[in-house]
Amino acid sequence: MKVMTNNNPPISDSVNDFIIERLNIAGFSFDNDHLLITADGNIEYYFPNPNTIASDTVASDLFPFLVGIDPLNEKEFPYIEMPNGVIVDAFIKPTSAGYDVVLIDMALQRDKHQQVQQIANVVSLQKDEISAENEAKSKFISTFSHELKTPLSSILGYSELLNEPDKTGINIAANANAIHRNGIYLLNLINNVLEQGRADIQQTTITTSPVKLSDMLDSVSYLVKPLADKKKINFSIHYGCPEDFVLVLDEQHLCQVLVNLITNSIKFSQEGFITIEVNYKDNELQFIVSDTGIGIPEDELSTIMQPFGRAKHTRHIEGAGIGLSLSNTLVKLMGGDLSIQSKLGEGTAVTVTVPTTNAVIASQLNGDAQMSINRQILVAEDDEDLVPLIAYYLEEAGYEVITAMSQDELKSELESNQPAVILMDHNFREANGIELTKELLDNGFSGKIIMLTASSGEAIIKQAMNAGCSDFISKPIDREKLHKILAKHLND
Amino acid sequence: MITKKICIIGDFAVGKTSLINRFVDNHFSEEYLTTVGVKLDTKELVTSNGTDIKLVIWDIAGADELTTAKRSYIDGASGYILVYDLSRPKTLESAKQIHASVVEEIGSVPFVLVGNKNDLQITAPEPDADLVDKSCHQLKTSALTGEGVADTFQALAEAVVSG
Ligand SMILES: Nc1nc2c(ncn2[C@@H]2O[C@H](COP(=O)(O)OP(=O)(O)O)[C@@H](O)[C@H]2O)c(=O)[nH]1
Ligand SMILES: [Mg+2]
Repeated sequence: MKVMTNNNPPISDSVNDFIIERLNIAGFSFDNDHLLITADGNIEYYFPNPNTIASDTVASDLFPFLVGIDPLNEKEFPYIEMPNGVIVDAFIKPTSAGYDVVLIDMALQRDKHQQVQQIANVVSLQKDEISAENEAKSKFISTFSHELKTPLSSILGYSELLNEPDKTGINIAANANAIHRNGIYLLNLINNVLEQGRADIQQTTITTSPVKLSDMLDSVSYLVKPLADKKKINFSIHYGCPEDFVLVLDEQHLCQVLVNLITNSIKFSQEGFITIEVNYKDNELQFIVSDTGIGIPEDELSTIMQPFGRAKHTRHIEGAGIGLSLSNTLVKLMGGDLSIQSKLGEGTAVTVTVPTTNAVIASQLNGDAQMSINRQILVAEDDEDLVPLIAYYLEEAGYEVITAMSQDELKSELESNQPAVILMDHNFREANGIELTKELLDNGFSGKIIMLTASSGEAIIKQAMNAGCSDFISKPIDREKLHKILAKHLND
Repeated sequence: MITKKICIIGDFAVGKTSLINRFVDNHFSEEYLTTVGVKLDTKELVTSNGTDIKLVIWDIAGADELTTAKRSYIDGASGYILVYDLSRPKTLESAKQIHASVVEEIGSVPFVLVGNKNDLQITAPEPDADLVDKSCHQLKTSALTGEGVADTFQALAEAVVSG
């Protein structure tokens, strides 16, 4: 094939043909009526079916890029991908008879260029995403700091009042209560952030234990009811199942979810009602937290559960913090489900379901049989401050307490008593609690031994269990946990 | 049958290629593949007054502002679709600038203003009244679900035929 060149080709025809083949150049001449006169060069490369290029084919039928343009002006279109997939640079040049269209294959170059541009564009998109994320994070931090200030200022205010005992009319118990409540509320806020961090790196662990439903909801209510009262919102709990059901649950995380949902409801309500409905059916516990608040617009329902790290649009998290997205994450981790129904201006209902097992009615558990149970506990602990506190916790729960602050005391107490449980300090003065446990069990102690440890290191716990301990409690000692663990070991 | 050139323009990754793929092949891909240069497609339509029209669609890469080479791409267009990404407010700014360079290059021809990725359900900033007024039609689309895609091309075809 011969290509149209000027009259004096500087290279031989064979070399010329070779170049044309390698470069895939083709030229097409059209007359002033846009009809094809001649075609030359490596035409098969562009039109594998030669029928499409019969003479007097209309130019724009062959080359759609000619539509709309005036070919009598010289033109160049780099990197055109034609409908049939070929990639060319197209040159349009006027001639005495009409105009020529020259195509040069650019597939390789375009692909290279494309790879580079792709990287540049993706980097640019990621940069935008990161800056949106950072914006969301700093907004979150300012919202969060603001939220921290509310309970903190209550704590500071009430504790100041406690320092003025001379003034009459100060209700110390109520003030202490308020401090405690705000402290827990603060802890809940901080837990949210920590928990979100853990969930982000998938380190949250779900720990279940038997929990009495009403106990759990009472502690939630203790925390949130005063917040609702302050805004004159009516807060109530409705049980669709016995209140004293004992279920196996991750109490800490479930409380966190409920507190988050209710505080959100309070935040977005000006008046009206907030209710928690509790139902239990087929090993599934269901909570419906509903409010008569401002509601959520329909188009935001799907994005509202994104945590700040992933939210494409930051304004959703304003005020709502990470409570909702975190609650959703936690519920999913528990194997449950969280869903939202909402109507703008009417209110929102969030339904949480979590799988659970072993529903027992607590009142049946603590029947008459309980009276004959040995409820004596020996506290083997050498910390002078801690002993009376533990003793107080135990006595308030109806246990009989004996204490031993040294190994000698322990041995002499055991000569005259047979406690059901020994709470054994891991570092019991001069002795190692684990060795002591082994010794007591070897010498025929028939009760249970529960290790008190300042560390929650797995190695120590393993050692304690291997030595024959029935359980462990980590310090600082949580009152409810203490009660729960003792109840567990004294009931089975 | 009349044949008209139209262009689809806007910042990169707003979904120009995806809108065309949805319209021409009824196909969508999550994957992002940068367009370099321009890709041509054709599609035939019938307008409401019964005119058969063949659209030659120029999918123009949107990485930078219209460079000299890109300006040549827009030549001879009877209309264009100006796209921004509802999830990236920045791309609405780009759309304004691109619109200005196009008007400078080829004067005013009909265009449809499109906010794409409406499936993401994001409440994006509204475009300037000025830009909306100049457009012959404004709508929200999703190349993913197909929402508004055929309407976009139809609206432009109508405007091109009657203009
Ligand atoms: N969710 C969603 N994604 C889209 C939509 N349109 C395009 N995309 C995605 O956005 C990215 C860029 O699309 P593309 O069509 O290549 O953009 P272009 O550079 O304007 O041609 C791709 O990952 C597409 O999958 C849409 O309507 N909805
Ligand atoms: Mg593209």
